[in-house]
Amino acid sequence: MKGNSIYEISYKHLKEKRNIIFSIIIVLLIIVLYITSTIINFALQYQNNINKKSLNARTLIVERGSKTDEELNQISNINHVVLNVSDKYRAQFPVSAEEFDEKDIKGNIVFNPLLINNGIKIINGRTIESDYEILIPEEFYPHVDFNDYGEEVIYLDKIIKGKDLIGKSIKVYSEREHPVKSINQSWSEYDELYNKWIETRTPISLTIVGTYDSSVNLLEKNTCFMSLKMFDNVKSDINGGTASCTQDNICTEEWFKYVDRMIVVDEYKNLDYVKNELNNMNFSYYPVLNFDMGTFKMLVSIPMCVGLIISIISITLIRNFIAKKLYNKRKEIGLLKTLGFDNNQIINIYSKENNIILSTCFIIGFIIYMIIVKTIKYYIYVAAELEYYSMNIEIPFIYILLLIALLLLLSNYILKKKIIKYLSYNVSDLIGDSL
Amino acid sequence: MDQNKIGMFISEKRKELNITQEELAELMNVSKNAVSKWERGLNLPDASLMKNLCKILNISLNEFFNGEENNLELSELTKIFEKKNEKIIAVDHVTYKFEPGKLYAIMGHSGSGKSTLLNILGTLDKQTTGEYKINGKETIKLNDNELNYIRRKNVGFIFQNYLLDPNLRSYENVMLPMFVNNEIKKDERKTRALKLLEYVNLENRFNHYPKELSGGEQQRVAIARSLANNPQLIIADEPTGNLDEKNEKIIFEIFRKLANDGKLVIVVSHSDNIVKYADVVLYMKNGRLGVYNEG
Repeated sequence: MKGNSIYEISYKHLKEKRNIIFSIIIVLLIIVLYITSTIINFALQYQNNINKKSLNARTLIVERGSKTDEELNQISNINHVVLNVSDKYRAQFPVSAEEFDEKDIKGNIVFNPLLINNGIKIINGRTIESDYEILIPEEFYPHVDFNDYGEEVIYLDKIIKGKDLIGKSIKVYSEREHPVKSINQSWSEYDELYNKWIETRTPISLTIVGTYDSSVNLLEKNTCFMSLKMFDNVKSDINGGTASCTQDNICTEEWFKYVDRMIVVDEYKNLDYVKNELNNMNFSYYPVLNFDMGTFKMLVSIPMCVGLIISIISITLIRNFIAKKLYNKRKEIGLLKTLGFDNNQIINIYSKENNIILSTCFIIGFIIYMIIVKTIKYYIYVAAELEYYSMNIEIPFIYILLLIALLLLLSNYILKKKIIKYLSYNVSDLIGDSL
Repeated sequence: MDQNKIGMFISEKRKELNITQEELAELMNVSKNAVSKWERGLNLPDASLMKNLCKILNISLNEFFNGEENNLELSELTKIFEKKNEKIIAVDHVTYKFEPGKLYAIMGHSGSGKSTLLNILGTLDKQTTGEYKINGKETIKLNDNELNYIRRKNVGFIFQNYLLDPNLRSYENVMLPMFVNNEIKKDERKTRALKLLEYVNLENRFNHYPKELSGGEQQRVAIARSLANNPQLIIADEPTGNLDEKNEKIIFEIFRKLANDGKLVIVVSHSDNIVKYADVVLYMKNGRLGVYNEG
């Protein structure tokens, strides 16, 4: 101790055993509090995406059944319906993109048609203006690969900056003329047809004109956009097929076309209204994204409750710790009074000690929390959903600072109140054993 | 020596005695101008005149050079504790004047009021009735800040259980009172602390924590701490209560040394050995103070 400031006394008190134990407990509580806040933050972001940005969340597929085209067209008259098109446009057009082949991984991208109200956010370049132009994600991963366990894997070092590809072209082939093997056709016949198609097919060159933020719309990082007309040109009208054979080995097959309708609502909040109207018009439908807001809110309330309980426990723990600590230090307070320290100086010594302990706990807790969250995000990204990795689920540091400031104010208030109570006693009572 | 403080002290004592500058000058056989200069702090009286001046103003030489009265004066001091329906008279109409440069021992049975009296003397507690003046100032009229100042500047405490901060080393414990004394420069504090430990023969233990010291050593650190701000009054409440005879002797010798150096030392003790070291032995019984042995 150099003798320059009364706060040197505070620093010396930091290494007390009870302070160390208390700090460990507070760090653990802080980490739990941060993690529950993160879960809530993530859930609220996700909900916000659903509400405002996700196209799928506000898309319904209306089944044709026995309805005519004219009847299906009537759906456009329902308030808040902004798109009423063939459900073909909900499908995706997968493409083997040779331009992105690497020695151990193939180039694979998928195309979606660019519909109005996609909610696409252009990051670099511009949107599509002609049928031979496309948009790619700003964080572009033009592959689909699997590990030995059949799980989809993503190699982070192979993510490309989309803006670096603006101006480049990708070749695609229309699947309309892609031969489909009939059940009554032999494999050699089919191979002949297929090889002939490979030789004679004409590539369509599409130019990258812009990049978009795929995390906004919860899309995968190999999803690109082309114009509606181009999508119609390249995507087959066949949705699927079935085949059946009789006991006499007479086989028949049936091919299905896209006949249903894709309905897009302007905002998620109007979805229930549109559903109601469809019910009134006797349409059958199903949502593209099964998202139950009620269940979601109920699930979010769990981490909220946990967070609230942890907060109450933390505040109670801090309060009790301060009370017990000051009770055990009452003789020390009495001693400082006998040595001539005034009330403010005594309060400042203990406040400083308290502030250092709590601030350090918050910062250590924050560092550990960031390590945990980054690790979890990495494994989520690698294991499954690409888009979640780029979502900012960590709590913004400003909120951490506000939380720290709030708890410091509260703990200092409790501390000051307790010290003032002890300072109101006779000094002889403080240093004696009567308390 | 603070000339201004001495000057103000001379002026204060003169006014207490209702003497004008002219009258004082006449009594001292000096000019009125000379007295005026003393009181304004421009000059000090000549050495040959100091003794006479102190006699006229009724102060000791020690008090003159400190610029303040240096005694404790009790007048009908009484302390009553009220507990439930019971009134306990801990100190009962005590009248006494303590003087600097002496070692006072206060003895008596448990519950006789010794510690209560000591607490009042050290301004840790206030009397119920009666007067207590420390260096001429009535303590009952002082507010908390003024009492803090008195404790800081004028009183050094020594307790039975040492009350050292376990987180501070010996020299750091001794430095503690200096944090609130701006008169001691920051870069001098450590040096001063080490010198005080030398005074109590603990210079080799300056870096040790209290738990690494024996009881006697801890008490010596506490004594060194009590001297940090060079107080005139040292109060010790059962300082050897937890010590063996050998350490007790060391502690009492230190108190004797302090009294010889001009301090006013008051020790409450159950030990009869204090009698050998004390100038005055006082005895308390049922709250009343009596002189057992003086001189």
